[in-house]
Amino acid sequence: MKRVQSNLLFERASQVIPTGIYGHVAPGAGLPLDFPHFCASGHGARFIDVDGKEWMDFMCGFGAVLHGYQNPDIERAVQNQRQYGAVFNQPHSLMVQLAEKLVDRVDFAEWAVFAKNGSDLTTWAIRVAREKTEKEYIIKARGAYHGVDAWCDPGMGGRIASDREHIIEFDWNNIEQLESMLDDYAKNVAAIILTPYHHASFAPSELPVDGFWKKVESLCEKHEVTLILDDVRCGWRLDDSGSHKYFDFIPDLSIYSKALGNGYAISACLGSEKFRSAASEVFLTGSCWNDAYSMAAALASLEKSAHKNVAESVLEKGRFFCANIEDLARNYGIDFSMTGVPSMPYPWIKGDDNLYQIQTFCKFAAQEGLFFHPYHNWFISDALSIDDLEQALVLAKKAFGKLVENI
Amino acid sequence: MKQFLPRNKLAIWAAARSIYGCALECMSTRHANSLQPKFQPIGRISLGPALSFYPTSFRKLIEGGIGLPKLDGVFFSPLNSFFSLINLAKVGKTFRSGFRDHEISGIFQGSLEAICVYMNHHPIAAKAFESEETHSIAFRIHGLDKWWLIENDKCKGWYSRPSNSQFVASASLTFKNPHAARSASLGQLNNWLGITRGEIILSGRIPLLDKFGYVARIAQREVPRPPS
Repeated sequence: MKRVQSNLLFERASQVIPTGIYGHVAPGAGLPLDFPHFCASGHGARFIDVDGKEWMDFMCGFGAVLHGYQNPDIERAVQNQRQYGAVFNQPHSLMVQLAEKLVDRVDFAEWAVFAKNGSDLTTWAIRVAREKTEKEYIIKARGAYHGVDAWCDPGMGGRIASDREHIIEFDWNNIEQLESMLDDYAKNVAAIILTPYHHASFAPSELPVDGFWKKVESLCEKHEVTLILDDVRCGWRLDDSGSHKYFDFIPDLSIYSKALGNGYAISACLGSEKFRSAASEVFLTGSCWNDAYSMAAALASLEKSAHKNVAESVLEKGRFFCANIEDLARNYGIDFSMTGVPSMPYPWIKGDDNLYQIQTFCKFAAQEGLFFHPYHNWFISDALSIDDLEQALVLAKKAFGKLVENI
Repeated sequence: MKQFLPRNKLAIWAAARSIYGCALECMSTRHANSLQPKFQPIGRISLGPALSFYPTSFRKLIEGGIGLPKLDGVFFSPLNSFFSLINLAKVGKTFRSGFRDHEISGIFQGSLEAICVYMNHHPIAAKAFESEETHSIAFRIHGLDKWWLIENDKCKGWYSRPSNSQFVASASLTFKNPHAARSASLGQLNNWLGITRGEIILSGRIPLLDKFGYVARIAQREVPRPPS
């Protein structure tokens, strides 16, 4: 199917929007030409692009959708709130309900604040850490994504040297390096911000090595450094009570977004009691920060996650899919592995460091209607059934066949 | 140790390298060498053995066609100066109105030369490319059946050279036809539309191409070129 409408829309977009589409689906991001530029609609685990082509989705709005597009339970909750309104001068009572729900759900949390995107609160959280510790430096893992602000964004434009003057990077899992950094900057590190495991783009995901999180926790305690968990991407996909439970550690602050609202824009930062006072001093607001529709969606989404044990469900579906797709590839002699956690696996072909083969594979998969991303972790939607996954595997087999012919 | 150049010097040096790169592709070596650029200690830029300009005159010459060379070189070596001026005019004409295959190759090579100058001497670009020194980018123009490569050498820094289809670079940028390559080289192609229309195809190590695109766009904005 040709990308006629998609391209026409892009031509219009490029007149009025810098680069036409920005961010990780911008044309410069190098997705194969077979991928659409614009979506028309989505239901469950499938979406239809503006040219009418149906896709089986493995990206879930880059993680923003956990229970499937237009999940009826969540849409009902939002629809119910529509009779009352979304944004007012004061927050709606749903904000209190949502904060209570999160504090109840996440073991270390004693308070919650809300915004619209992950970046809003990763940046706010490091300011809370600085307020609390009266220290300046932030340590992060090299290649980790924490949002679009100048201290951490992966782009090149609009930055000045001072933006990152107080950001230090270590290599994920390299505890000795982290320890040595903390020794070097001993008295001036405010926080370590980390994702639950390393899910950088363009590289295989890395799980924490044995003892990693315990060591990070103890280093933070020893040096009085705030441990910030960026759970924006993983949140509710590893454990229904936050990804720190999956890896068995306790952060001081944690940030959620993406799956929290199942496609409705909302983010939350949760914190322990000892950070309440610092959090009170760091200004936070936004044009629509108290949007009650998103809060209704988040409440319904959390309810659904707990009721259906959705994190375990997507992990289980992911295990099935990952094991089978790896087997398929092996039958074609391709050393293909799904790295990271099964609910959001990152595909990696051994020896394909420059990504030519995975790009070609995803191009062929796209021709079969599979939305597989060549260099971002995929997301397993809870709306995918085992039948869907089996169908995807049949289509993926064709793509592997074409890849082998093409190598 | 990287040598960063101030903004105005950087653009002029990139233009001079671009002219020389184009000449190497379109002319004989003897003719091209009459345009080999050098920085002179007093802030002038020389092309070949005799012709030299102050940066402002050089910019005026490129952008408007009128810019006075330093007269001492012209008086001391009039034939060499004249030879350089003639070749410079030919390169200018190529950039303005060259559509033949070898002219498009020349424009493209010239554009790569200018970008390499930025990759080596622009502070932000040079820093961004520090972590990419083991990588290379291949360029292909369908219809010309020609390949180029940008790679790094410890002494030369980033440089471009003709290549062949066998070389597998870390990333690859392919132009659908010579016209797309010409337009892109002259900053007349909207990169994003070009990619979505399939006029430019990106593959391989995307973060490297991302950096390359960023630096190429800076160079296209800043480096003077003849009006087309």
